[in-house]
Amino acid sequence: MIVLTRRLKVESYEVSIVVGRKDPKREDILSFLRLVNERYGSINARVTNLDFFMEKTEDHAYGPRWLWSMYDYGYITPYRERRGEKIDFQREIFNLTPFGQEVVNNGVVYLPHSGNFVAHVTDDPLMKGTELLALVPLEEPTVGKQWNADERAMRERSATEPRSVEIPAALKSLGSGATVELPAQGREKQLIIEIKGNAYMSKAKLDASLEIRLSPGERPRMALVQDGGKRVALELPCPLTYEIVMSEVAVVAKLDLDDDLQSILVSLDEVREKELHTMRRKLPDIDLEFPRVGEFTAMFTEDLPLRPRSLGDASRWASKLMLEELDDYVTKDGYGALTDRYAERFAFWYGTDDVVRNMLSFSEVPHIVEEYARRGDQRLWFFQAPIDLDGGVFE
Amino acid sequence: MNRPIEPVILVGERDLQDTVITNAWVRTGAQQRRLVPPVRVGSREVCVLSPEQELTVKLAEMARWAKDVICVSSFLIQRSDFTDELLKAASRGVRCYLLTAQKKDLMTASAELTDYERELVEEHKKLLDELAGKVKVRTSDHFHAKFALFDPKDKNPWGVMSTSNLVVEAMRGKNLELSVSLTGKEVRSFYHQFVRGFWQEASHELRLDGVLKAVGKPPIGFDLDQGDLSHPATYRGCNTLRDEILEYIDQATRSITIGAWSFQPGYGVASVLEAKAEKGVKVQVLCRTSEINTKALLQVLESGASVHGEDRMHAKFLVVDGERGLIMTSNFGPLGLDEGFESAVRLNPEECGRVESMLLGIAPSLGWELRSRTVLKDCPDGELRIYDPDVGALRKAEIIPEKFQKNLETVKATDLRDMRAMTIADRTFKSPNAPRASRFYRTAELRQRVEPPLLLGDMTATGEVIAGLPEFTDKGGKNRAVATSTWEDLDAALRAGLDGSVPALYAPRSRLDSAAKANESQTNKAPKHDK
Repeated sequence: MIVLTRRLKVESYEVSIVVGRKDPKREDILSFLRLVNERYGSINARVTNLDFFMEKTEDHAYGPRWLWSMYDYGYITPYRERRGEKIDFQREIFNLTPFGQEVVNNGVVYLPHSGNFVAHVTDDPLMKGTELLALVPLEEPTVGKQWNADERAMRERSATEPRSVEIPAALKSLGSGATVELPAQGREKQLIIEIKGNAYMSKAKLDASLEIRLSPGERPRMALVQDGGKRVALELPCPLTYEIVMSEVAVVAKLDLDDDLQSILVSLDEVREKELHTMRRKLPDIDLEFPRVGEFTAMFTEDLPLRPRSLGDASRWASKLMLEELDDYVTKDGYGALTDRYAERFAFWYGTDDVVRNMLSFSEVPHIVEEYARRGDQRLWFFQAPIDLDGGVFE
Repeated sequence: MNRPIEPVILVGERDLQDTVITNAWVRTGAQQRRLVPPVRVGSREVCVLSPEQELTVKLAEMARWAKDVICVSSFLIQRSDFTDELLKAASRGVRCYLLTAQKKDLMTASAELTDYERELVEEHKKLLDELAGKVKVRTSDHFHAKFALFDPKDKNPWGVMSTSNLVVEAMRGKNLELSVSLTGKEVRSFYHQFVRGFWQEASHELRLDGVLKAVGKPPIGFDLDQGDLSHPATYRGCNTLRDEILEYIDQATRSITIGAWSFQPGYGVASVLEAKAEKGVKVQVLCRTSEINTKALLQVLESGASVHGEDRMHAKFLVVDGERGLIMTSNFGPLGLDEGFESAVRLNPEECGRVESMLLGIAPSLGWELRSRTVLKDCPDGELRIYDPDVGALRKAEIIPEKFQKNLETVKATDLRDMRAMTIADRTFKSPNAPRASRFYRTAELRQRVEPPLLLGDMTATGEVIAGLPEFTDKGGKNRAVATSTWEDLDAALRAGLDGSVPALYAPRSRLDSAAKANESQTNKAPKHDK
């Protein structure tokens, strides 16, 4: 498996935001908003009185007052809003705002809460659509839209170090009434009703990385990994596969990979001493770059298999392994089973019989024993003792 | 000068030589084991190991000439000329294989070992470390056979079986050990046993790093059943040695000469020996003077067998009727005959006769003889080892030449005339040679004080003189006696006719003088009164 990682570039801003917070007790609001939704273009104070409050007098104060509070919460807006003009809550027709529509659609009442937040935002191409990673309140937001007070408080707080900036595009695009998922907060959903005024650079930090795990034949798995190990699975928004990555690895690391890109082709001479027995190669971390996706560091969770480049390499390798790993006595009759056992280690690529055919034959063992004896190699006994102590005698 | 009458000390001796001793190892009086030349019959050579017949030298010589393979089996092995030669052989390409006892088991047993044996075990372990990588060593707790085979697959193989472990002192004859050369056929048979031992019986193998590693099954394609053994042996599934021993003894009609380091009490061999001895077969046993052997052989001994022993008697053999015989590596117990790894060499009638003569010639020169009942006069001075059947243990005792000295109770004479003729009254004397005594004495020297009969204070002089001695009487005049203070006065009185009507007692001179003065004054007053 390959693991691609990169650190996310995160910018943090302090902004005044009106967010929606669930209040399941306010069934009355939901009923009213559903009425507004159903009776599009016809809800005014009179209709509210008659059809919502079931009052008979048209000029009763309930209707206008209720409309005013719904307007104040941001659920409804005058059908014909005229900038600068005072709204006549006795006569005006009201429709749902996008926030009001969201409440109706979700069937859950959100009450607007306004407050100052730190918004952690990234512009990573793989986080498109989820640029807002986290929204952390600076203090507990209060119910209602207290814009001026919130903004004033923020200005006062940053008066000593004015850092007023444009609201970042990623935030601005959220507009009003959008429900967003916050990846760095466990994909918690947050209804953003309105963002007001300017943003201010924040000293708060969010350290996080992106991690993509790729295995042959499997769907890539992407996750946001925060410092401390907290992981949140995310959808990979681009077609990055194991094969694409391994092809790039082969180019960058100058590896000769086999056709399925899962093992490294080597001749026996290229095999390092410790790779002889493991039959795998440990690859270092490799920096890769993909168009439109960006740079990553590729790490290999396990060593890559080494595949003998040819049948001859496989047979010589099997013979060498057999002699190197020999740790028990072997007779002529048992030699076949031994060679089979080692040939089977290459069975993924070559036929066992083919590998055995080219391996060291038992008739060559005396030369090996001679060599062992010359070197004082203890493996000598594994071949020699069964010959010396076979129970046979020269008559 | 007159001799005053005083107490006398009587001295006497008692002969304790007839003290009976039972179930005891008694010194034979032999100072040194007899050295005997080897028995040679054809190509066979049977040796009692000695500094002149050192096994090390023979084995080292054979190792020097080995070309291909050397197979050695020994319970214990110690660095010697032979092992040095073994390493040299290995360095010139001869493959050397050794079966020996397992290090771990030797260590486990070390709590029960003597200091000497513990030392051997330590040296054994040290040597195994030296051999690691040069000699292929396999171990098992039951490898006890002792033999060495040289080029066993060759047309002219050599081999020796010995009762001795390959430790220096034993190979030089400090123990009573036998070695027997093997014929070519025997070497091949022993080789087959070695092969079984190596592949089938060994539990561990010594690796290059000196670590003992458990061994697995024999290699694939190995046929351990090929090659039957022509010699009697013990190994897994084979008890031909036990069967042959029991058969030999069972068929004995005239004599059985048998020897081993140990005879297991209650094991079949001791029982059949007892039965044979009871039927009149002459059974002669040579063994170690150990508790276990004593216990095992007591019944055999009581049935008429003779048992000679030595502390380091380690040879194992059996000769029956002077015609059938075995020299073996096994002791007579289940460990060697039922479960062990042991070998034996069969002797032909000629070899039997000569080996038996050789061994019986040595028997009296062994330091000890086990006797079920003996008397002290038949035993030489020195150590005894007495078996106590109640305790089941052998205890040490000693026969010492010094006399046992005992002071008896003081006696008082009743008459001075008898006092001189008195002898020791030894009714209270008890022999020091009790059954559980640790010292046995051949004689006891007894001493007894005799005090003279004293004239009692209430007796007064009568004024009469009998045969020159003053007469005394008590108040009632019932008891009369004469008294003296010297033997000369008594002798003069006896010469003057003192008869036995009054006893003669001892009185101090002062009392006799005062009695004489009293008499004299009474005599002087009487004439005045008469006037």
